[in-house]
Amino acid sequence: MLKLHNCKKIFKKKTALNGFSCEFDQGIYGLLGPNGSGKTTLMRCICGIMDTDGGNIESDENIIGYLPQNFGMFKTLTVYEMMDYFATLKNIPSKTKEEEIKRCLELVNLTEVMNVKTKGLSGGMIRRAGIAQAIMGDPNILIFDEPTTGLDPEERLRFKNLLKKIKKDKTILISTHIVSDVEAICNQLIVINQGKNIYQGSLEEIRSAAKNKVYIVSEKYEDQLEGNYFIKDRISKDNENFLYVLSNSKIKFGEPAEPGVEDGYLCLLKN
Amino acid sequence: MPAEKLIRSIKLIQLNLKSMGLLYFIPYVFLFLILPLSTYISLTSGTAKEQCFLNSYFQIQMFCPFFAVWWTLFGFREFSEGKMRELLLVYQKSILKELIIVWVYYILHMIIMLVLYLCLFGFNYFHSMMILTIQSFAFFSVGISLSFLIKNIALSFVICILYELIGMFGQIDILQPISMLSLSFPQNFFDGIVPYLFILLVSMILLIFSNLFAKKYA
Repeated sequence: MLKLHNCKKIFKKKTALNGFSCEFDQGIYGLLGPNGSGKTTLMRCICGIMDTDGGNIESDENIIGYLPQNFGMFKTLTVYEMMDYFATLKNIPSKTKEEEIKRCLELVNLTEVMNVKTKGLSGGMIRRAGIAQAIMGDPNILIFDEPTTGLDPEERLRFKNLLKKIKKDKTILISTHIVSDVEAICNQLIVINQGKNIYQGSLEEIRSAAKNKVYIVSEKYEDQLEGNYFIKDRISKDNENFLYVLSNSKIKFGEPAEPGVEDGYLCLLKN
Repeated sequence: MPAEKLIRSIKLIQLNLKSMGLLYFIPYVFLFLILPLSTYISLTSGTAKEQCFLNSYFQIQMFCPFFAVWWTLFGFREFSEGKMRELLLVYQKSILKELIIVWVYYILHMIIMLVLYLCLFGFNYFHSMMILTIQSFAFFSVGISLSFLIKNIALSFVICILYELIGMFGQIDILQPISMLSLSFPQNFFDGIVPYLFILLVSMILLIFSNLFAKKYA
């Protein structure tokens, strides 16, 4: 459905994409990577906003639904007019346009504010309107750049439920740095670092990347930690403080722990 | 199909212009209120009709072509700057067609204004229509090209204003080579048009290249 082969993008002195290759089938893909790793550039190249400087992107879809990181709207137009604007841009036939706009607004729970000017919307509502415009016209490829940023927990839950409703037969790519969102939403994961695809697989597989590398260590042993290790968290249990440590070598005085997706992701980055 | 595409473009234009709010009406204020009112005041204050005809002609040249940038710059500002830009580029690579339609729409307003002058004061400015159209196109082209290249509407507009001021003081010898102002009224539709053909050609080339640049370096 969507194939990227050896994609390169260079901005003056910075290489944003450095031979990125990947294949996307139907499903929800989480794109994880540290700041500046090339996530947004990759999404912009897939959407056609930017041309790559090398490699190629193959897609059998003409229209891609896209939600950028910074989504804004005309402040003087109503939500319905704004959706009408995007429907026109997406070439949705005028016969079905009204029905399609209402369907999308209903999916994101914005029907009630349909006739309200967009300047009167909250940040969360604007984000939802952004999601509505992306799914309008039922595109088979949906790309969301940091979709949950700025959403409160209730809105995030709503977004996750919405994805469950629309995911059928679609390729959905979500860029985020919130690992818990990836765990809750995605069934495939791609880790990008320095413009390269350093990992692609299921959530289970990425957890296994941290197998035997996660330890819970009493804080009193902190000074005795040696080698290549990383303290991810500090936790309290039964009036005692513990460290959540990722380490390539075995920690004798630590208790092995079950790794999570974030642990696997951090292990990939640290290696 | 072409009709469908045209309807789609008109719908987009309508919503873009609607997004301007009250700013949309500024050209109307100049074309249909300030300029005719200024001519009326000049006539009633005892200025000779022939002199008044020429004075109004200079005023029309100063303001009408300049306002060709207004709707195209501010109505489509989100395509050059602003939070919607990134998303709009996904769904529409170029808006040149829509911008040209808006320019034609503005020229229609200019024609209505000239009809108004003919009906109200008996001043027939239609011989200058070709010159006014080319001047308008030049402003439209410069404004749009700047917004494509520097991606800043305010700065593009300020540069157009600066040029407009040069046009106003174009009668100063040193500034004449860069002024587009026609100092004599044309005797027929094509009179004095030759120097303007060069301006037209440069404006068209500028518009085409800036559009290509905008598509390549989005």
